[in-house]
Amino acid sequence: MGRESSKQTILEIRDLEVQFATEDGAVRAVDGVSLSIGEAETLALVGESGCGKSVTALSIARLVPEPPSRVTGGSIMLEGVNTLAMNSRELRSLRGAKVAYVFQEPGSALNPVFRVGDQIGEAIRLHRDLRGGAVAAEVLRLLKLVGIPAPEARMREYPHQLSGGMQQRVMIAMALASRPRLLVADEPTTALDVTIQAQILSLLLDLKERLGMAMLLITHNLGVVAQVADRVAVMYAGRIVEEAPVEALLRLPRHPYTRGLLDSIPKLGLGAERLSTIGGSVPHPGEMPPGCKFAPRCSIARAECHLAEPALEEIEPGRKVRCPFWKSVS
Amino acid sequence: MGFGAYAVRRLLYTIPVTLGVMVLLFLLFEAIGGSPARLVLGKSATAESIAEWDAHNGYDLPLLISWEGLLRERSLVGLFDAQLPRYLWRLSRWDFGTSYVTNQPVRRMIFEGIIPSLSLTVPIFIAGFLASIGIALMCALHRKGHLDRIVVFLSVALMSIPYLGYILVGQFWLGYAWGWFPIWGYEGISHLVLPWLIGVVSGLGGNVRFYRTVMLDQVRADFIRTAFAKGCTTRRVLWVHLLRNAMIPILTQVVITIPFLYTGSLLLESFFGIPGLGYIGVHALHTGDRPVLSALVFVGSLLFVLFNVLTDLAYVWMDRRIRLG
Amino acid sequence: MAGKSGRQQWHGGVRTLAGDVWARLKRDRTALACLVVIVVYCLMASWGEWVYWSARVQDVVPIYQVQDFGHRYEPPSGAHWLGTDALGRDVFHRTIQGARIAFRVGIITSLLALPIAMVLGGAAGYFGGRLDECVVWLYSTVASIPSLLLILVIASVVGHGLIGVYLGIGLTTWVGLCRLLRAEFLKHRQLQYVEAARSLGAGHARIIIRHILPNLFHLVIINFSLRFGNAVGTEVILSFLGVGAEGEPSWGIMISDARLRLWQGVWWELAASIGATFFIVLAFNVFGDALRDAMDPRLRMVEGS
Repeated sequence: MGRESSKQTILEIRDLEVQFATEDGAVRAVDGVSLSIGEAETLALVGESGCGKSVTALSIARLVPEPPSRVTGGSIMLEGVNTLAMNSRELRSLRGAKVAYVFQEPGSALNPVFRVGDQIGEAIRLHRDLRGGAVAAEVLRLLKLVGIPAPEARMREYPHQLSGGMQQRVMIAMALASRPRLLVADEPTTALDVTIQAQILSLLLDLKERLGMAMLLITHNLGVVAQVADRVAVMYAGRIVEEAPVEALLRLPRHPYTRGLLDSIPKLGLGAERLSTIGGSVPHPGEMPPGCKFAPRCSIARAECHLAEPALEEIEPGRKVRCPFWKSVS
Repeated sequence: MGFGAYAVRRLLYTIPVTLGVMVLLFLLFEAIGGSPARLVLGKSATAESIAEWDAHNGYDLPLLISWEGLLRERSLVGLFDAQLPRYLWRLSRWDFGTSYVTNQPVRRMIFEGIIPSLSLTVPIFIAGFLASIGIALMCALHRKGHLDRIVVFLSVALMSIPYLGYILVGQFWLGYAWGWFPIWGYEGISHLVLPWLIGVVSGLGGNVRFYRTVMLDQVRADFIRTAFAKGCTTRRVLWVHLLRNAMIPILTQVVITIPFLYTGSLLLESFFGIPGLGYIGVHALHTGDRPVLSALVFVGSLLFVLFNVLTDLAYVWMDRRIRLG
Repeated sequence: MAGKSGRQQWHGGVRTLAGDVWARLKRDRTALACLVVIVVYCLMASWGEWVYWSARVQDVVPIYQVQDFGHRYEPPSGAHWLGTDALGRDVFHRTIQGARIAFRVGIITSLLALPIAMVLGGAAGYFGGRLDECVVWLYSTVASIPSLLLILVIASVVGHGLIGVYLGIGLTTWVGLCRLLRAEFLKHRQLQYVEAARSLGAGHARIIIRHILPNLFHLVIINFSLRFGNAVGTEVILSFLGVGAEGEPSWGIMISDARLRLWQGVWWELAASIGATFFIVLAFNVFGDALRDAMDPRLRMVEGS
């Protein structure tokens, strides 16, 4: 805890609420999420698909299409400025410059009809006063930085000519083009082969250290979290259900959902024990249960859990849980 | 398979298709229609003069192949002394005969009609293309918003207005009642403005709807989000990132409609007295001028086949380069 | 992905799909309005048929052909709701007859074109090989000929008024659906549910008709709705150009009759025929779009996930 407070806060999200207009009326995809990330810190945002973690991350630079989405409450302070109050010009000078994104599927996130060098060059031109040959030189430097072999040849190729791992390196190079303060990596390794995943993760980690960026890592993979993150926030059904330093969370989860996630990871050396799963499925956003959103799937739920939603409590410094019965979890 | 091999195969495939078109035209015009002698010679023609005309023009020959010819000539060449082989031979030499009505060579009539037709259709094509691309981009930006909904409804409404309605209303109000434009003749730009306008507006609905679908397909793509995440302006995202991608499906669809410019517009030309191929075609239809009609259809089909190959090859070539798969 | 969609379609037979589609259509007010318009036109057409046949059976001049030279060019009134034309005939009744002809054209050309498209497209996609090559050649050939010209030529060669129109439109407009069905059959014949049916010993005909076609039938229905409007519009042009309806009040004939009278201020016949064409074509176009939105399995899956 002491480590974070000594550093400057880069990102501070408070009570963020995002709604989506659907055929069945407005649906809250993100409901009262608060997060903060300090300088050079990595926060992992963990949860199943559809829990609102990507929407939270995209909201920072207002990249969720509006409509159908609408931010209905809260604030997002990036280096002390509320991005939710920005006009489009301010947003443009924020996107790619202060906060940059790396997306899940590099194959479709790169524009198929432009050479990769031009796409990185565009990011440079948009935010830095480099022109002409200087841009090309900078593209080369970035490609080398992310470990792409033979960058002179690669920069003239189209995305489909590169492998998935190389494509993701290009995405990262593009994100680094204007030295962002915060890098948002939205499932950056999910679409890649396992061996490539490790390479990309260590590249991200290495770059983060060298460039002193803060990083928000979105993932559903707790193995990735263990390798990379400083702190973890677990999301379920649009809410944060637990937040803790990474070692503490992995060693001693306090929320039954986190517990379930950890139990469903296969572990080496534990023999033929049956892998546990979390029964049931995430509630449909239109049909949220009134009480604790996880109660219908929770093994320790009591009658009151179904009535009122528990608050996110701070149970020890740096550790928050949205479950009054956290003592009986582990 | 390399691109060259594909190109050769694709080019060779135009042969059976062109042959198919010729056979279809033969069946339609010659086999079902029978001898046009009575039409050409008039009602007072005698049986002898009709038989003479038929013999002179080959209508007394067997339809598909000639067994008699085979026996007579004692070679395979004789087998082809029949109406279908002769028809195919004539068409492949661009010999369309002479018009039954004007007695002019059909080839010359078509050559003379092309310029008026193109002067009508090419501006309509270009203006319509640009206008609908612009509107479709606007829709892609505001998708699911009010503007998009209004445009979608308007384009379906525009598509549903009968073509004749556009012409009659346009000619009556803009031309006659308000006197803004001349109504008849082919004497200069001023005579073409109203038909251009009608052509663009009547085609706008369908075009916008198609381009909008293509753009919406693209605007959902991940790379559009990437472009926004980089900090591109909306204009740059639309005109550079979106349009460059949408251009490939759009161009393939658009290029394929170019051959239809040649036939002009049957209705516009006859209403405005523009002596293009559409006008000639309607006239030939009414007078039963078979050589003109079949030549018109044949040349149109040939252009279509040609442009179809070009689009296919261009598409495959672009696709291999950037793999849109 | 292919396996997933296959499974979904395996579970979602026609009946549940129809219920699902209806539930979505019910919420779409524009689509419902179009359906009402279509039903109204359908009633008009049926009434028109009744008037037409009862006059023929009784061997009298039908009401829409009764000429009255004392009342030519009368504007709309209580006696003649949409006025009278150059021969004093009632424009309202002629418009109703136009609806009868439009529906005949829409239905008969569909009865020609849809079976051709289904048989050729299905067989080509399912069996492939030489048969497929022949079908592809056939539709490439037909598609190469400028469509309006081809329809005009067929209609004028066949003659006999509307029969030429039916054949002209019916024999040329199957290409789009045929191409679509061929591609879909090509895809579906490799899906697991088809292989499952095959492993259970189902014959080709059974697989095509009972297994694949129900999964693709929405394409046929959408095509029907969209082609109906096109067929009506084409018939109007053909009749206008004089190769369509003969002696019967098609909307195209009415437009042709009325166009020169507009100069003299006689607007009602033109307005009635153009308006009648517009609303039915619009209704079918919008309804076809709504059907496509409601039936597209891709959209359904996205929403379900």
